Amino acid sequence: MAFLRINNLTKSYPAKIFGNKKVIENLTLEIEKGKIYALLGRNGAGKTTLLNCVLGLLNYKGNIYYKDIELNRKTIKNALKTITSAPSPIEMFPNLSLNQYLPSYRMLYPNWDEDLFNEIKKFTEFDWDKPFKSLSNGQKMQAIQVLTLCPSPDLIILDEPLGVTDPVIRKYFYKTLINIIAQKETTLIIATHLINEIENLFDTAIIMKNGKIVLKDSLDNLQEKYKKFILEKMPDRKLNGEVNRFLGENAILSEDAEKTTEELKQLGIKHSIINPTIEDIFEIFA
Amino acid sequence: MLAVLRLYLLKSKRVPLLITGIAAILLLWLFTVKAVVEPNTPMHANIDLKLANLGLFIYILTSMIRRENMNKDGFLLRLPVSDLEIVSANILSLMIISVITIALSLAVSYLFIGFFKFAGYNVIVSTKKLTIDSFTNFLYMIMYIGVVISTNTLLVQTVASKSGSKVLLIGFPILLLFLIPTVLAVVMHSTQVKITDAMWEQFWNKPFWHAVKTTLVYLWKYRLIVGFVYILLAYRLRYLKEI
Repeated sequence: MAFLRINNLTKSYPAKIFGNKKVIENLTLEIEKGKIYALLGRNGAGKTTLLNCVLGLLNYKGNIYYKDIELNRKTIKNALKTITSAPSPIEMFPNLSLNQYLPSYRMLYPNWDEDLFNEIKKFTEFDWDKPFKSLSNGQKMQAIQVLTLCPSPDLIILDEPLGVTDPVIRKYFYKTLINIIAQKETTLIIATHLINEIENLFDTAIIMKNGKIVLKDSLDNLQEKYKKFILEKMPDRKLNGEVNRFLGENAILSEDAEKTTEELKQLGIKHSIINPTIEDIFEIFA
Repeated sequence: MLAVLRLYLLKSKRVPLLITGIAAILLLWLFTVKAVVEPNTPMHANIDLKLANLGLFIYILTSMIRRENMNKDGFLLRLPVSDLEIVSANILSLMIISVITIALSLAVSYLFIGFFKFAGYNVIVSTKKLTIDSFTNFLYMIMYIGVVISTNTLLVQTVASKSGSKVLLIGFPILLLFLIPTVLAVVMHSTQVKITDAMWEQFWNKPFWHAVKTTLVYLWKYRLIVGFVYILLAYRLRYLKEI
């Protein structure tokens, strides 16, 4: 049984007067327990909308099952005890400090991890009594991380979680995430544009385009299936096995390396073959 | 609910202090404090602070707008709490803050009055202006503002985009107030048909329109209650998880 199952999800937003714009259309997705999913897509692909639907922040057509229970107004409260998500800093009450938030969070989440909390507290270097609005953007993100990770959730949903944080904080955040996931079998869905940074982190990449999932696979499988050809010069016509061409470089992505190699030899174009990075896959499919 | 109530109270802890100054001036204005210099001098110092009302009006407007912005998407909705708990906590926190504000306002007002007394003035507190009408007018004003803001929020959420909502919110009353009478006047002028009172009476006497008229009359009569019920419903929808 899937840990999180989304069936035929459709979400529309009002556009103009009395009009509707479909942002997600008939999306079906299964998420397994204890795995890390990178949710990728260009701006407006529907990533945030999808995650907000799972969190019960938006209405939708279709069904979402979490631990085999369908999410609706009655079940969402209980589900959110084990699902956390990082809100945008502007959603938080600006006059409250992190320390003022904590007692309420401890009340709401029975599995609050005090050890992890103390560990993160040692690492952070800002004043936890300062109101949110006085913190820098990076510090705000750190504060939100405390509130997202310490409740010991079964599912963490992160939408662009690191924003403008510096590289040291980002590295620490990923390290903490990996530790949590390894220890507690937590499932993570992370939507980000910092694709290279999560290359070694995720198990499965999900690429969305125009409200639909166009690709869902592990990086190993993707690298086995697709190869990046770096060419001496670009041919005029589409090659056998060519999926698409990369912007600003003499390179193509091929789904049939043998056929592409053969044709390139016939055309007399020198080339080298490498495994595509997740950024390459993103560029072609998103 | 206690966890959310705690957050709301912490969020609003500065509100009583901010609002108390303005509320105290308003109270003084409502009570019309006359500070008269004794004995029998012609010098009267009527503290007439009508501007305080305007100040309060602007403050309420801005605080309402701010409240919308502060919790734009609502991090509270991400927490394991029900809609009812969020709405109840918010209303309860507003009630608690209102009580604190009123108490502080009274204290500040007495401080003002005490200052005049200490300075040797004979302070007369008149309740002439404190009439039922002044309170109901104030309530009507709050209700009208609330209805406009709530309607805008509802339109944005359910029917139209932000710009669409503005078009509907401004366009519909304009249509109702100006366009229909204008069209009617033009039609009457061009066709030379005069709509007499008797025709109107005949129209309103038809069973359906009679029921419509009666309903509208009752709604208008009890608009204060209807308006606040509408605001509460709209408020409930504002914080309702859309799922």
